[in-house]
Amino acid sequence: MTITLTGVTKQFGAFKAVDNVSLSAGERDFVVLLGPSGSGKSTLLRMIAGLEDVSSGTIEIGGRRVDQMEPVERNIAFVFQTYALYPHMTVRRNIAFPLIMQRARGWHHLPFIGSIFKRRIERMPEVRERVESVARSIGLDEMLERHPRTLSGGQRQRVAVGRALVRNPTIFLMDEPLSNLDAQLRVEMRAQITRLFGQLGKTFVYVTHDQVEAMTMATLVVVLDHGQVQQIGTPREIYEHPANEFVARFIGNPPMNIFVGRRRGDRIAIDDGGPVLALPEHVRRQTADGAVLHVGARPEDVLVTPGSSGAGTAATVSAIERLGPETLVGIVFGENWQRRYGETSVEDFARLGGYSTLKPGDRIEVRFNEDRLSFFSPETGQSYSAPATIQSATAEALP
Amino acid sequence: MTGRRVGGVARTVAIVVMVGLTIFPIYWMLVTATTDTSRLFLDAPDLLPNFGHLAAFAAALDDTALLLWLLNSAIIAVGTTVLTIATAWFAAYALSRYRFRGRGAFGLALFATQFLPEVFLLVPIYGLFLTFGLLNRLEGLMIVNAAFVVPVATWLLKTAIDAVPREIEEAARVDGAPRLAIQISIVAPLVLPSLAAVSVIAFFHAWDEFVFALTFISKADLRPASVGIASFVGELTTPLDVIMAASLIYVLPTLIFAVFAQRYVIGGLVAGSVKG
Amino acid sequence: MQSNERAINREAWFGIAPAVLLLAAVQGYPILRGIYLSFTNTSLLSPNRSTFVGLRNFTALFNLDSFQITMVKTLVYATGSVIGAVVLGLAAALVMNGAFPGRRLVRAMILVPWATPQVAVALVFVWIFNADYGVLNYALSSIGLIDGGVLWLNDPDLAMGSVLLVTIWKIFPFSALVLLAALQSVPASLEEAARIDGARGFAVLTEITLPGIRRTILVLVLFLSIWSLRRFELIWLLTQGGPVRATNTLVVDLYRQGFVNAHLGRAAAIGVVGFLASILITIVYYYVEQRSARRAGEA
Repeated sequence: MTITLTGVTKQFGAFKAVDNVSLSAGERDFVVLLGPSGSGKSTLLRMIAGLEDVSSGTIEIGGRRVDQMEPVERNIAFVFQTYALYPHMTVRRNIAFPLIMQRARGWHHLPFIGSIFKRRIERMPEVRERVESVARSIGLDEMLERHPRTLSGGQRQRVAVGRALVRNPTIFLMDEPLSNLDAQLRVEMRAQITRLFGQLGKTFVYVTHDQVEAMTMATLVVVLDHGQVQQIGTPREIYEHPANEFVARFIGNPPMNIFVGRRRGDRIAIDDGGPVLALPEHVRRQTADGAVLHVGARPEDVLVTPGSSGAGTAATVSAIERLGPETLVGIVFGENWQRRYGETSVEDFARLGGYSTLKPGDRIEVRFNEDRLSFFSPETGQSYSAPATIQSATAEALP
Repeated sequence: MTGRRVGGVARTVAIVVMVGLTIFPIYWMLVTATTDTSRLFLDAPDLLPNFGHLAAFAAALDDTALLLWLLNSAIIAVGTTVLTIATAWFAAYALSRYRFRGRGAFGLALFATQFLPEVFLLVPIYGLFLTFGLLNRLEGLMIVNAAFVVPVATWLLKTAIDAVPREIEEAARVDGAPRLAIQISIVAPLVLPSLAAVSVIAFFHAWDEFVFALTFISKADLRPASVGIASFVGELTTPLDVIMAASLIYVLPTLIFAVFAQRYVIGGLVAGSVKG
Repeated sequence: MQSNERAINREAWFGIAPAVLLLAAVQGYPILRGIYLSFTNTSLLSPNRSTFVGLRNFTALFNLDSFQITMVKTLVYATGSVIGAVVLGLAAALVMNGAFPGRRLVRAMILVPWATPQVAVALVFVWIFNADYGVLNYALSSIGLIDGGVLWLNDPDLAMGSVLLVTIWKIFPFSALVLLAALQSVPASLEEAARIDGARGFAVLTEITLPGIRRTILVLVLFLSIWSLRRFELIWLLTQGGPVRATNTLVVDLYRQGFVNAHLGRAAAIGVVGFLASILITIVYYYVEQRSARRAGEA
């Protein structure tokens, strides 16, 4: 099912937790809502689920307007951060619960008396088969009679997914479902959710603050900050063509290095005493000579060579982090290059492939991959967008 | 959406009705105390307090022994509180921190006291106090009241001490503080809300207590307020508005506690029950 | 190692000694003495002269029609006050759960009955219930529900109901606040999950919320039951067990036998029956708790 949000806003008093968000996701999109804590991503997800009222704007699922409907009428599934398994029910009853609710009459909910009828529903062939096939598909068929408290974190997470699957919903909503797992299990479950997405072929909306999850799972990333959409795009677009400085610094680890530059004719001079680099044609068209720009370079676009042959700008290694397949190099530029960006001295990073033998204090030379730099307006923080990415670069534009 | 808003209105109405019924008897005490006796026995009673008529309060303080009774109650209540804290604190600390022989039995004994009807114990305690000369003594009532509060107090304090990390005490031990000093100068300040809760519970248990005082105190000038005010019933000389004024003065401290101390007391009390 | 253990025992016993002493003197000894008295024909007039009479007090009790009435009245009083306090307390807790303006004030107000001393409660309710000039009769007759003076406390058919009304008014705040704390410990996400899974209002309450506070309800019922068997002052001050035994619960009967009829032996026997009833309730509680804990996978 497609999801279309138009001008969705959530207001708590004067505070806008979600501010005029519009986006649309296709039939088989894995949408990741990504942002720091307090960015409104969870609130937005809860509004799609119907757990939170919409202050203004509309939500459509499959072309049907749902924002005034009860959660169950929207036919969605929701996996909670804490899983929200019912502690007093077995795994079987937890998974069967949505089916029992579909079939139960009002008086079946009475305490004591109702339990007989609920057990009868649980034993109906179509319910039992559905529950057991879901349990088999996520490897829980051995644990159906156990209670949640006797399960491990990963098993609980799977029960939560099972309960989401059983009703055959049109859309899956997940609120940081992996954040309570340890690092190794997180990688495993990430792969499992991706596989599930491939098998089901349904729309997923997934909230996280973890950019690795966003980059690895999403077909469409929505970056949020202060309740506002910063950028909507594929993981690659977000990484390679950040729409503004927030996205540039938020995505990528270590974040994008940012310098202050001044346009000099067709080129741009970095800081005071830094190199003078090429300025792409589309940026030249949008700026005047002498304009001040912010220039961003991903760590892998900062090229480092040992020694001081004069081919690049002289600098010193300040720190080394060897991660195995790659090495992060902290850089301090020479005396005559005054860094101008940021209030305090910002450390810049380069990313080298493999295991580097550099050590702190080593003299190095720095050059840039000049055709892969990003340029931002210092006033608005917005990127001077390249023609190829213009469609996904701004908050208002829908992909 | 609208359904939820109607729910809000229904809830407001429910809260207003609930609070209204809850405080009505106290309100009615106030109305009766501020109504002239001549207007109390009408077919249609006055429904609002008349703050111009406060004579009953003056009469309650001047014409009855109310002040003396309140003083007795206060003495008994303070004594009960001190005795309760002094007894329950060390027991609670031992229960929380030591795995000693007899710990289970002691815990069970505390729980078992909840089963005993006070009235059942009235006669044997009467006999005991007769032997030890504790009848017609305020100290006697302090002892009885403390004995009924100590189990609850011990349990509440134990729960609170359980929540204090042992590391804090161990750090103090490493620094060379003696055990008793640790209990009193390190642990006690950390469970101050629970100590406050226990004090309030002990104080108002004694303030409220009636049947032991009725049975053990026969001298009129040693009566606490509960017995004194109950004695208005049946004797026909004290006017109703004065009775209600006296009751209101007697109730007032407990109401003030209800409004101001509720956060601590309920916190402590509820923590104990929910976990228990 | 062993001396260490001995030191711990000694320190611990120093700590609990005052409490043990106090409880032994004012609870332990009296209960044993009380049990002993129940097998004697001791009189209030000469409490230190007693003759052992075996089970005669108990056989006499169970042959009395009046004692059977007392048992029934006790059962009605206990059941009524527990159900009333739990149901009303739950309703109040559900209404108070969540944020609303004036929340702290409401919680303080709801405590008023619990804080009010029993003597004052009895006095004001006797006046409210007054047949001729009481405000209750005035209110009910002015909206046309009753016609003329109802004898709330003096009509044998109504007295128990009236006493229960006062009792529930007095004790429901306690259960409301205990249940409110329990409700707030049920994670909001469970109720949200249930709404997504298709449970609506009432179903969320009975399928998710109530099972979530099951243990608290059980403990609450246990304590309210035991306390209702113990409660004396309120009933005594309202009706003295009357009219015609209509509100004569065990403890009221005990007091009457001992201090009005001066028959301490028989009074003690009634006390023993009440004590046994409390223990029975506790055993039932443990059985229910264990069984439902096993069913909920907690055992």
